[in-house]
Amino acid sequence: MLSLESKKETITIKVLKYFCLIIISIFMILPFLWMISASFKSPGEINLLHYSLIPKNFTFSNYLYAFFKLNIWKYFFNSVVVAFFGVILQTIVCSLAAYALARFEFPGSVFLITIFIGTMMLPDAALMVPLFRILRTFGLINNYAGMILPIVPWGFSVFMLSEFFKEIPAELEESARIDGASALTIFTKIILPLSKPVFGAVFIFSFIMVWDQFIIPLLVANSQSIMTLPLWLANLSSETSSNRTIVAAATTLATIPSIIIFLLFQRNFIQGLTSGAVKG
Amino acid sequence: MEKIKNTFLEHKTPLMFVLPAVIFFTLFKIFPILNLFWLSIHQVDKDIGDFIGFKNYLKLIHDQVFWLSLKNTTIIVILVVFFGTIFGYLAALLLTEDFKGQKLFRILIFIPVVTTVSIIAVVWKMMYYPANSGMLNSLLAYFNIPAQQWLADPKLALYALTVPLIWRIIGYNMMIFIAALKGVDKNQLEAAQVEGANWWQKLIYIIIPATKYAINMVLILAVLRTYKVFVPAYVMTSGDPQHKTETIATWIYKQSFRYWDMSYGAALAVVLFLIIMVLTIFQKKFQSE
Repeated sequence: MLSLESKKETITIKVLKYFCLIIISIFMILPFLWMISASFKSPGEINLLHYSLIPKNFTFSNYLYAFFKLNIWKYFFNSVVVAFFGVILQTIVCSLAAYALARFEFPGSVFLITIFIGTMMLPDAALMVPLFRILRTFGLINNYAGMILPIVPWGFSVFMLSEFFKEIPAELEESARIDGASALTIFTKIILPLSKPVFGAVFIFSFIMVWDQFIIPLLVANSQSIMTLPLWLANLSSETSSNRTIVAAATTLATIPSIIIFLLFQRNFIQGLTSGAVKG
Repeated sequence: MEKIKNTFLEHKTPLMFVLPAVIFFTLFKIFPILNLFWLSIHQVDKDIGDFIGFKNYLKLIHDQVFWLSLKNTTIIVILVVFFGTIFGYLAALLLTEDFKGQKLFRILIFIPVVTTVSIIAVVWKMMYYPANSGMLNSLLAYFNIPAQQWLADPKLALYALTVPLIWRIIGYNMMIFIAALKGVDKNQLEAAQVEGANWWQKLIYIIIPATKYAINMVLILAVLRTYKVFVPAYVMTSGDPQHKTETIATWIYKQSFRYWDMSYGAALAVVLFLIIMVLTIFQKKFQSE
């Protein structure tokens, strides 16, 4: 505990510390343990009165059912399409703007960055009605574009990238400019290679943000065939006929991508998160 | 005109760079928020758009479910802020210094933050399964406590809905607190140690004041994030039973897309927007101090 007993951390304190941490950790991972354990149980076993986290008879039938009967891969595919194009478009649009706002002063630049970052506070839930009507006007209901385009503008991405671009010394660009390179060349040939670490962080945040989307698919996806994984899962779980073990298998499959991404890039993730929170 | 043209040519490069963002932000953020106010004072059921003045706002004042949803959301916010901050701070205190297993504990506590909200809501909903065989009910059975209805129990549902929200914010708060705790002056702590201060005194008089900024930050962020809570409430209860878990956001959704009264939904959304905006201004003001 933060130098509270730095000199002589007694055994009692150590035990107490581990005890607290283990209790908190169990609370944090219990839902995952439950989910994984239920996904390997038979529909009969989950209805037993005496609960056990370890299934008595391991079965893969829930996963097979989710795959071949419920076609979970279809919704997985929909989510991947939305995430892929969403992340790419978002990063392109936001990084171009962030670069211009970090490097150039032009009429309205301060106004723009204030507005862009300010949109971070807009609650999605409050924008449901107007957003739905706009998407309907453009004929974007029930197609991928309707789920992808609204997530392109993201204030957090503009903010993070412009903060980073400001740190890059301007001299690096000056010489290229004297040599007659266009702004776009400078951006792609000089700025982008220098910004690999920050783009790593931005991609991860962006992916988690896009994968997390629920409200926009809820407004856009009317037919089941176009639903993203989270939306389809929420519907599945509210059908009284669906079996808990199968829903558990489906949720396990759906959780894997975010956890893998997080474990692979946790350092960037946590750094970006705390810096964003403290500055923003 | 000539002047505008010249200004444009002079700044052509940056303007071209921001143009795509301007289009996207205008279309999906700026226009919707402006449109929201317009919608709330027009009748838009059949897309005609007759001006109806503040009728929707009058309706809102007499809408008991709205007031209930405001109360429910406020209770959720208070609980999430209180327990989320305390547990986050406790975890951060335990995990700031290096020791064996520190990294693993940090990851375990942080993992809920990166999971998908709606999916995790599905998992919690199943853990709250109301029959005797439900996971939490079988845990209760170990202690001879009768099975609960959880999300179906009008008295319990709101609190059952709040637990996953607390669960999901602890790791996030912890990370901000850890960053802040690293900056606490070690010499000051050692001096206090020499003078015989116990850990409680050190916590109250040195550590908490030194991390005041982070604590305020976490409190405000949690308030802002929780007031707009929609997805867990929609997935787990959709406001049932008897609107006991209705939040402002689920009520906006229901009015707009179940009862198809979009104008009224917009009026409700304006209220949510104003709450968030007032809180944000408050935060900015505080931050600049």
